[in-house]
Amino acid sequence: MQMTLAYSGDALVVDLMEQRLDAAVALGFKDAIRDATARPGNPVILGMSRVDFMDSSGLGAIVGVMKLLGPDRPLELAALRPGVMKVFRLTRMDTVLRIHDTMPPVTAISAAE
Amino acid sequence: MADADPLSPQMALRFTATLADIRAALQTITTELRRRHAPSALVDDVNIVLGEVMTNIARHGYPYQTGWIDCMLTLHVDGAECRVTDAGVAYDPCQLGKSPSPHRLAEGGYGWALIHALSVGLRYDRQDGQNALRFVIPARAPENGPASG
Repeated sequence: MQMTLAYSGDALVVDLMEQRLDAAVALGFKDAIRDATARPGNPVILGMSRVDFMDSSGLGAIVGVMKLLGPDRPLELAALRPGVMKVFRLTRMDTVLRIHDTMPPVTAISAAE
Repeated sequence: MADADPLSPQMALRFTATLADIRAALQTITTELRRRHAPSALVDDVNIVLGEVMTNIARHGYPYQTGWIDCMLTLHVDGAECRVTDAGVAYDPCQLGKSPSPHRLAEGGYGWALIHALSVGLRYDRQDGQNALRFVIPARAPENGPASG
């Protein structure tokens, strides 16, 4: 599970480097985000521009991350591809998560695994 | 791929019911659909629906030992006709399908809702110890709204 970390103002930006967020990697994804969000930053913005497929297990992992972060540290999503956006829309999870059309401008990028 | 003709509209795959093999099978299907110039929304929908069906088989169909999954897909101008067969335990796809309320923040239970939203003509048969699920994924899925012309 690969991702890069950066800041956009106060927000921690986690840019996912994976093409598929599916049942095979859902648990690893959740663990990796838990580690990544040990550092400060509020909200947490998850960049998904490289993800062209997400299944219901991937969606469940994102909901799990939301709950892990708690109500005072919202998880937001950015740059969703059409197939991924479709899963959020069909399950109406787009009504409980803020979704940005594009990635925010970021500073201080450090590679993380 | 079982097909000799690389551009045959029909593709047939058999693989073990593991999450890694399902991912590989979906990547093969994606590559083959793109080579056949299938619309990108249809490729997305095929990945979503077949992924959910096969993941269910891997998770619930073979509780004691890993088994196989057969996937047959035929590409038509108006959609993809699919048949997924396995020798795992029986299931009833008609009893499931309601997505949990988004405000419950459920971490699961969305799979069959996605299958039902993106497919039509879902038919399940159990014969000789095998499950066969047949369905069509329309090129223009019902959830995308009515065709505009």
